Amino acid sequence: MTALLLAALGVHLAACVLVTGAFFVLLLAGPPLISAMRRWEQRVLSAARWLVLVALGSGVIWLVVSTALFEGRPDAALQARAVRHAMLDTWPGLVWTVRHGLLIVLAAFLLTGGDVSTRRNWIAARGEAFVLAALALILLGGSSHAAAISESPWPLAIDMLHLLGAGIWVGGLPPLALLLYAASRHAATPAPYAVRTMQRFSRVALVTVLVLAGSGIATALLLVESVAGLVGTAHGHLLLAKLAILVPALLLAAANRALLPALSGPNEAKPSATARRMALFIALEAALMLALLGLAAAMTVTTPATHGDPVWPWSVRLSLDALLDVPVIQNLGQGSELVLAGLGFALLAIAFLARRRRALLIGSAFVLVAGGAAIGLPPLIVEGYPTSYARPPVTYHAGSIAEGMAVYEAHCASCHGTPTPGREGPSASAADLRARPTTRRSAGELFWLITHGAPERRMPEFGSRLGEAQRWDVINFLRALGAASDPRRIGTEVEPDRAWLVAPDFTISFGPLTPRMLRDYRGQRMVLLVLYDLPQSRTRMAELARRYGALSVLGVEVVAVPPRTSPKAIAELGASPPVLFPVVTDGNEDIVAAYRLFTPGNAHAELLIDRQGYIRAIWRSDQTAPDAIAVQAQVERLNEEKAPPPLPDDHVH
Amino acid sequence: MTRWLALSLASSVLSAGVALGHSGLQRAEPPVDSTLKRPPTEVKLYFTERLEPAYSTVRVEDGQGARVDRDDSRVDRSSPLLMRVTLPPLAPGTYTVIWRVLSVDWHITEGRFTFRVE
Amino acid sequence: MPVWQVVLLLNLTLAVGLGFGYGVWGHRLAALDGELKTMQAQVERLERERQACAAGARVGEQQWEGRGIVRAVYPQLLLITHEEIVGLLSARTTGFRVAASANHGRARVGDPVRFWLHGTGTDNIVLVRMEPW
Repeated sequence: MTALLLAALGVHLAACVLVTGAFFVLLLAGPPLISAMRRWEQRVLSAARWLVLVALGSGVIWLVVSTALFEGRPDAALQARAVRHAMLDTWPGLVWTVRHGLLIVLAAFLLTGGDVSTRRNWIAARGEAFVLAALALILLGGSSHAAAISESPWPLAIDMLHLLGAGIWVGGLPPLALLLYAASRHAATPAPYAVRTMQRFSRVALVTVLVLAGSGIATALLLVESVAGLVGTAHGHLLLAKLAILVPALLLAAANRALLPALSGPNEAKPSATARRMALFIALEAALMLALLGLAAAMTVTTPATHGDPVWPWSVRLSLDALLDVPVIQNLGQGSELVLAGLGFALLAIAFLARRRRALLIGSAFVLVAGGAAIGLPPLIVEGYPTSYARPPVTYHAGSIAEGMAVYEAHCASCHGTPTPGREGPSASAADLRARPTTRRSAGELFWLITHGAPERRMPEFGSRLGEAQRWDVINFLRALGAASDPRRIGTEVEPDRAWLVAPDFTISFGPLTPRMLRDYRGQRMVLLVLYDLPQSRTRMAELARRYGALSVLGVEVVAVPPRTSPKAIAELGASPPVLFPVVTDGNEDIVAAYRLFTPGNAHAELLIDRQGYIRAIWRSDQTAPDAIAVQAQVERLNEEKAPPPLPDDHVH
Repeated sequence: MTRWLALSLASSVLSAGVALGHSGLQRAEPPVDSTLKRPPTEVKLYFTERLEPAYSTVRVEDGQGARVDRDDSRVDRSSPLLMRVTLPPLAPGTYTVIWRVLSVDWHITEGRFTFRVE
Repeated sequence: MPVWQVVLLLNLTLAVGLGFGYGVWGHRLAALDGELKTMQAQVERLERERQACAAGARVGEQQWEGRGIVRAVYPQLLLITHEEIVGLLSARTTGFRVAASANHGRARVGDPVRFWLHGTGTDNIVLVRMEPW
């Protein structure tokens, strides 16, 4: 089923591109004057008519097969009601309808004749065909990956620009090859009509290739985003294949550009032979680009790399985090390699501009860049595993961290030490999981190590003993542990523009009311998380109850968490003064277990979480007791922050 | 080079179309593979691509495979990335959330995850 | 007719057809949508008035139902953190005036309750009945 879809889509895309290119070249060439050129025009027109019908037919097959895929049953493809539902009640179907409407109009326009002897009529006829074909082609972008991922119209516009460029350049190659061949078959010199067209196309093609490159890179940044996505997913592989095909195609194009002066110069020998050779090169280029269109069609039915789970293919990878491990002396080396690389690129630029001694300049440029890489890259090389860049399916929330803590205590603490920051360390051979190498590893790497073990360090594998979810829970716990053991301490004062400690998400269950998540407050209110216990917190809770109004107006929500799950928690806080902020009555143990990593012990503690979801200040009653004035001052400091930090991700990395 | 091209094309064709597992789902409430003390009243799924209401559904099944949700799955009006379905009060046990959604780029994704109610 | 005039006519037809079609149908759709919403709101209001009438309220009053947790109990006022009261208030903590019939003396801080309100709008609602949730 998918193969049929891919075939139909590929044929449809190719047909639309070829029709657009055909009319572009016809317009570029202008009304033909000699009979040989008129014959060429007729052949291109006749081919265009067939191609529009092919586009329509393959488009219908695409719709019908897609209906079957949407409904999940193959027989839906032949049911009119199902197809109509897919066509009219979905956005992609609507885009399909508009595009095929345009193609039908184009087909009708092409199949009916018309007197095009005057220049105005000729331009109107060819121009209209080009406009209809180009619109039908670029509207494909309306139901592309870029449209699905992004809310802003720019990725859509860039995608449409890419399609237009493809139509103009790729689609224009076959008629151009045909033109050069027809113009030079029976004459010693190719018709000037053809030579002029080739020169115009060459100029347009240069601009078009640059536009294609720019728009392609922009779309790749949106859909692929990272090197891991490029080399580790099907979508990325297809993009690499596209680029691989592009190289010989561009080389052929460059060769053609070099041959161009030979077509028309007065001293040139055998210009017709040159024209025929150029036609051959262009035909080869066209064949390569059509294969590339097939790959592009395949990319539209593949999950974009940013949403897939990349599988890293090699045993090493580069990691910028590793820079933090490098001692100061080597840091100096880092600086020098940048200088060397900079010099190298400067030399390269000079080499392109210079006329003499090019080889020497380019050679020394490469030596400098290579030298810079040799110094600068090795510290960044770390081990790589297939899951190094996998995205955890489990989000960073208190329940997962608490579960991870329990699993750690049962399976890992015997070698790696007890799971609280600031306590007893691990046995001699096992790594201290609070410290540098572990915090530097990616979540996917940790997953691999836990699943398969590290035989050379005598760590057993846990893939058979722990479920996948449990392993990810442990990783969430390790991240929380690492954050809590970070030498940068969060104190009782908010440090402006320094937000790094992500607050784990949790469910705020308040009696039988609909529960909220901590994450729901993002972008709206700050949260003062109060870990309290009665009777020692009673005075402070009364003060908070009285001050709640002022804090509320300043944009703070207070969330109180007693140590144990109990529906009586609200009543226990007392009636006077009335407590109006939420008190968590369910899931308390998980929340306390996770947040006590950041404030060890049992003392009353308060954590101020900013609007982006970062913990910015922590008070502990056995160190610096929180009081109304102190908390309010920090809240005001947060309110004064001009540039909010970027939103943290829901998953750890 | 040809072999590598063929292999990548083959793998892309095989993995094209329906993608199973976690792709597409950004996060969920109740969270994936979580344990809850109180049964949830609603399941919310946040996706990475804009959804097409006409062909997007969610259902929740209990341990025996019987359907337990209220059959009112819908794409949220204010956010095309969010899908929700409401639940009646659930007994303790393990429940499976099964989703099948169409995004506006012709792409059907399906997947499932479980959560437990104690 | 010369080709260029045909082309012009074709483009004009397409533009007018698409533009007007989108405009007219889109406008009608929006109007229908608005009408539907008004109708819905009206039906809900009538239903609330009917319920209030059945419960013995004055003419023109509506009845709303809410659920929440009691936060403070006073002789004439009850502070409740409640979920959305459809057609009246979104989820928040509100102080409701209490009628004598409500018998709220037994309510304690922390109790989950279902409650009913009578009135014509947010300015004059009174809590008339409550029971444990």
